[in-house]
Amino acid sequence: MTEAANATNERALPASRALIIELGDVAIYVGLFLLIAASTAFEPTTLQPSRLLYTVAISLVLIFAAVAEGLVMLLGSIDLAVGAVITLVNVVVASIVSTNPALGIALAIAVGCGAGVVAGLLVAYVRLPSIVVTLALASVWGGIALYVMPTPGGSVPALLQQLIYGPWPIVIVIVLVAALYWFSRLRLGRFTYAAGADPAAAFRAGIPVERTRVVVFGIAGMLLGIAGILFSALTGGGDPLAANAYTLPAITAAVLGGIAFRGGKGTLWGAIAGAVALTQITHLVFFMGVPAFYQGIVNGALLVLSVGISRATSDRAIVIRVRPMRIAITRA
Amino acid sequence: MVKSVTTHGEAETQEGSIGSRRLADLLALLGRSPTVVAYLIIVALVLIGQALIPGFFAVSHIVTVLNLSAILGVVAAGQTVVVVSGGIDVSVGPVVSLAEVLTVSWAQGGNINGLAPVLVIAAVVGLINALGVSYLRINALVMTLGTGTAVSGFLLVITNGSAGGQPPAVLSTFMRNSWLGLPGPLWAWLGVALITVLIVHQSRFGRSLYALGTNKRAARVAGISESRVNIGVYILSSLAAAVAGITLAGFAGTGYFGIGNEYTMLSIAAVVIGGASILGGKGSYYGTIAGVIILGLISDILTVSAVAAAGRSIIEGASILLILVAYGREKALRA
Repeated sequence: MTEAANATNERALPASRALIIELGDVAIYVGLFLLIAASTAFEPTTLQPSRLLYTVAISLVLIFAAVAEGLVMLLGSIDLAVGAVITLVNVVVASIVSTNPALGIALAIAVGCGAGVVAGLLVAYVRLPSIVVTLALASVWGGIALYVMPTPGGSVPALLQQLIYGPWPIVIVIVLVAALYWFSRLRLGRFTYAAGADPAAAFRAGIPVERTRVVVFGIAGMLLGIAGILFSALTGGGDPLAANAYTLPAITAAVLGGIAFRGGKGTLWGAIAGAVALTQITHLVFFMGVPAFYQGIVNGALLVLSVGISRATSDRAIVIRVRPMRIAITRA
Repeated sequence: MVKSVTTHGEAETQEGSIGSRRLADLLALLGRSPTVVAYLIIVALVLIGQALIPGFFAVSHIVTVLNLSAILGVVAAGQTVVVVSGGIDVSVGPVVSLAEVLTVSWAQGGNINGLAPVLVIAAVVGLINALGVSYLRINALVMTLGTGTAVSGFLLVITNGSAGGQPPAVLSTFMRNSWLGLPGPLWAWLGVALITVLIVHQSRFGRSLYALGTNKRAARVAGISESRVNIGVYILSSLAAAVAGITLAGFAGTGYFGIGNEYTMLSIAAVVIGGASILGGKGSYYGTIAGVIILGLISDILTVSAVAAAGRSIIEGASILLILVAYGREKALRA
């Protein structure tokens, strides 16, 4: 191909001249908008500020769980121990730390990070498949949680319980969004995507894939620690079994948000949006009078549906070029 | 590699004498054959059990352990078929629960005809899994996770929350007694094992499983229809889970909604401990049987040692990890 041919090739879009928006990344925002619109139709109070605040407050735990799961999925792995880690943190906070909020936060993050690093080491250096590792670890963390607190009880420091009231939920989400932006600008953020998309190529390019995996698992663990704190704030006590139910919704929310199983695709902000959307859908289903028995079927169907949507929008991107103006939807 | 031959006739190699060379070869052989290692672990566990609890090695006790492992053995048979073909089925636990509860509550102590609908429902679940994985191209883990959750919910709906009743009399009698020295569930496992070995190791379908698990594209080019194989695979897995649930119903006698939940993780663990690769293409039911027995032995040692539920959970999870570290590792990244 000669230079002249290149210069006149109208279809060549140098990346610097075109804006490329991956459909999979934005689909969730469109979906969330439609969802809120539909919700408002059913339940006019949805858009009231106090209601919106409430929605965010009750989605908080899932938001952090979904981002944690999303981080792991970006690596191309999966974390089936999400619920168990949140349970463990919850039990630790409610029993050991009943009166000291600062110690509670520190311990929660330490426990979560520790759990994450253990999983990361097993996956990265011992090279065990993450699905079996996290499944087995879920058993271990769950057992430890049962050991620390055999029956529900304990108490959560009052200061921590305040986290879900007032403006704090919004503040927390804003801080999370900002933190994720900072993360995306770090080398570690780029490494995460590379390690997930093609570990072998990343390795050959000099990216420390194993170290990245361990660090990312650790960060995900820290986020689960925060999720545990928030769960404790929400329930006011400790329960050795309650939070186990967060694993499937965390995966669903991450997938809804555009994160793919094979790794290297999707954004963590999408996971946040996915978590909010999932919480809202659950609320809507409940509000429409669907009996609790049907929750299981709904959750299962939602997961399958979200993956279906994810597949439909995957590998497609909107490409916008300014001069000359051209907008196209292509296969990326 | 032989450097010289000494006057005693022993060859010396660069690494050492023939003795250490043989050891190295033996270790290499073990590394290549996880199934052999698995059976060695069984021997080790039996020795540990005998050391901790006198009378462990008695025939009656061993039969008891095998009997209690039978349910997992049946579930793991189906899981083996799925994993070898490159997929995974995490809906087996809920299907076991479904079969167990429905067998108990539909039969009401009557005849055995109630079992047929249970098997049909299980087959439908398997079909849904297969359609999702093959035609909608949904990741197997996600699809089966979704159907599993839906099955749990469906069970609640269809029984209206109550799990009373009695399994068919014939079933109870069979499962709760011993025949020719072996308890009913063990016979069920034997039957399923025979069928599984025939399917996986002796049939063209079985060979296509390995082909599909090793390299999907190559298998397709070789003329293997992925969608048709998947239909067979996931239906078999759900049917196996249903058989396990029915066996459990006869053995336990009452319905319990969460009874099958633990079998999901345990069946995957058994398959991987038995030497199968989670990515597919590697493994055998003989290995899975070893994995099942290992898990059964661990569980039994824990029970007899009166370890509480918390400790059991921890030790079971940790044991699985330990065993995997021994030989469940994947390839390293290489420059």
